[in-house]
Amino acid sequence: MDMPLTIGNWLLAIAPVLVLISGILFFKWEASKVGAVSWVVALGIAYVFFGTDFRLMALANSKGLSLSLYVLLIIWGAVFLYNIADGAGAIKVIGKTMTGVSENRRIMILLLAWCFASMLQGLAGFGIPVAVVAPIMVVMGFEPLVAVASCLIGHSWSISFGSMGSSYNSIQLVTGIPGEIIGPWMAIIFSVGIFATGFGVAHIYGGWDAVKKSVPQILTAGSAMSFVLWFMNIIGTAQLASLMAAGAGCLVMILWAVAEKRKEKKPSEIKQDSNTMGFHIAFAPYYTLILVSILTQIKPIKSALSSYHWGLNYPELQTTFGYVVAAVSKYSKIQFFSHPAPILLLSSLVGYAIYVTRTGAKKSLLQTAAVKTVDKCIPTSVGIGTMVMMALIMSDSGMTHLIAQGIASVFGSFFPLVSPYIGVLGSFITGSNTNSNVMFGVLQQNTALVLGKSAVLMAAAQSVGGSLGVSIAPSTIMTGAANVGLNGRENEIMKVTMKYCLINVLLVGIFVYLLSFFY
Amino acid sequence: MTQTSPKPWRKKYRVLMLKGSFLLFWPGFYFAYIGGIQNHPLLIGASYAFLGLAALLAMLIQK
Repeated sequence: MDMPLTIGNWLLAIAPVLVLISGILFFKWEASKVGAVSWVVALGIAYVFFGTDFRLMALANSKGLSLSLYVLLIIWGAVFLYNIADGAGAIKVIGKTMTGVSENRRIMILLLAWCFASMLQGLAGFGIPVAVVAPIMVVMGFEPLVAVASCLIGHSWSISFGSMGSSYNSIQLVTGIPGEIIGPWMAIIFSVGIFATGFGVAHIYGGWDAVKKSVPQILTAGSAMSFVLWFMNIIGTAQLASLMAAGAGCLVMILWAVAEKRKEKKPSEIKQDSNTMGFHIAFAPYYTLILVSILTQIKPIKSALSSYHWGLNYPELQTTFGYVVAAVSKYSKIQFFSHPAPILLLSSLVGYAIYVTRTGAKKSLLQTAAVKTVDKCIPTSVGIGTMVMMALIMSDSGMTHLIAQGIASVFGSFFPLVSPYIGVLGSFITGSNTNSNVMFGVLQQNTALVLGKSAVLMAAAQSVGGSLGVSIAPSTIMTGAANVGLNGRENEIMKVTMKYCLINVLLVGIFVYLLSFFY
Repeated sequence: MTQTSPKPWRKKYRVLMLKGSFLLFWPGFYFAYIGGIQNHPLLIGASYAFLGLAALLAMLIQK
C-alpha cells in the first residue's frame, strides 16, 4: 500500500521543493539557510504525513551526507586548483590567451560555455565544467552572472553521456533497457537540446541580436555535435559520446573564430609579456587534469584502481504506508584514484610545483590557496549538505515518487510532453542527472507502459530532461557561484537559468511527444 | 554626526556560525549511519541533535 495520490498529499509532497524555490527566488535567502529550512520542512512532512520513522530518516540523512561528501570533495578540489592557478597568476594568462583566439566575444562565449565546458563534462563532470570555465570567462571580461549562467545552460546537453557515461549507465541499470537501444534515442532527443542550449547561450550573452548573428555557428557546430553524439552511440562508445561531440563542436567554433579573425584582417595582438608565464605553463594543471582523467578511464587502469574505494551499505526499509526503500551497497561510492577530487588534488600539486619552479611563484602559495578554499567553500558546503539531505528524505519517504505519479496521472496521453520535466525535477532536487535517473527511471518506464507509450522513449526523455535540469539545480548553481565570487547571489543565477532550462525542456518535450506517435 | 548602528550578531558571527554548522554535519553523519544501521535510539537521537544544531546555525545567519 503506497501513500494515496490526492491533491492534498501531492501538495504536501512538493512543499519542501516549493519552500526551496521560494526561499531562493522570493525571500533571497542564502543557499545554506534555505537548504536548512527545506530540510526541516521535509523532515516534518515525512514524519507526520508519510509514515517515515526516525530510523529511516536518520539513514536518509546519512545517505544525503554520503552523496554530499562525494560532490563536496569535487567542489573543494576544483576551487583549490583554481586558487593555486589564480594565486600564481595563471588564470590571468589563460584568460588573456583565450581572448586572443578571437576578439568576437559572441563566438568566444559559444566556444567556451557551450563547447569547451561540455568537453570538460565529457571528461570529468560533477560540477567541474562550471567550476573551471566560469572563472576563466570572468577573467576574460565576461560578467560573473553571464559566465556562470551561460556555462550552466551551455554544458547541460552533455551531462547524460558525460563523466564517462555515468547517467547513461544509471538509466540502463534501473530500467534494464540495454545501452545500444536507449543510447541512440537519447542522442536523437539530445539534438534538440544541443541547438536549444547553443541559442540559449547566445541569448544570455546578447539577446535576440546575438541569437540572429549566431545562427551559422550554432547550426554548423550543433550539427557536428549532434551527429558525433549519435554516431558514438551507434558504434558502441557512448561513454565517450559527450567528449567527442563537444570536441567536434570546439573544432568547428575555432574554425569560425579563425575565419572571423581573417575577416577582421587584424594580426594577432597577443603579446607574451616577458615577465609572465606562457599559456602552456599556465594551463599545465588543467592539462594534467585532462590527461589523468583520460588515463583513469582506460579499462585496464580503471579496473586495477577500482578495488580502492569507500562507500556505505544501507538496508532495505519501509514506511508505515508500505513505501519500500531498496537496500543499496556501496552507496555513492568514492573511488580513491578515479574520483575527480584526487585527480584535482594531483593536478593542483603538479601545477604548484610547475609554478614555483618555472615562474617563481611563492612557496606559500599552497597555504594561501588552502585558506582561500576553506573560506570560499564552507557556505556552499552547508547549502549542499542540507539540500541533498532534503532530497534523500523526500526520496526515501515516497514523496518524490508521489510527485511524479501526480504529474503522470494529470497529463495522461500528453505524458511524453512532460516526461522530460520529471527528469528536471529529479535533477533539481538531487543536483545530479544520475540520481534523477535512479529516482524516476522506473516510474517513467512504468507510466509509459500503462499509457501504451514507448518505455525506451520515456526513459530516454527522462535522462535528457535530467541532463538539462542540472542547469537549475541549486547545488550546481552554488558550485558556479562559489567559483566566481557570487556567493549569496544564487537566486540571481537561478532566475536566469530557470527560464532557459524550462524553454529548452519544453522544446525537447514537444519533440518527444511527436516522436511518440511514430515509436 | 551620524552614529553607525552596531552590526547584528547574526551578521557579525556569520562566518563562525557557518563553520560551526559545517563541522557539526560530520558527527551527525556518523551517528545517523551507525544509529540507523544498529537501530539504536540514543545514537539516532544524537544524530538529530548534531544535524539539528547545524541546521539551526545555518538558519540563524544573516547576509
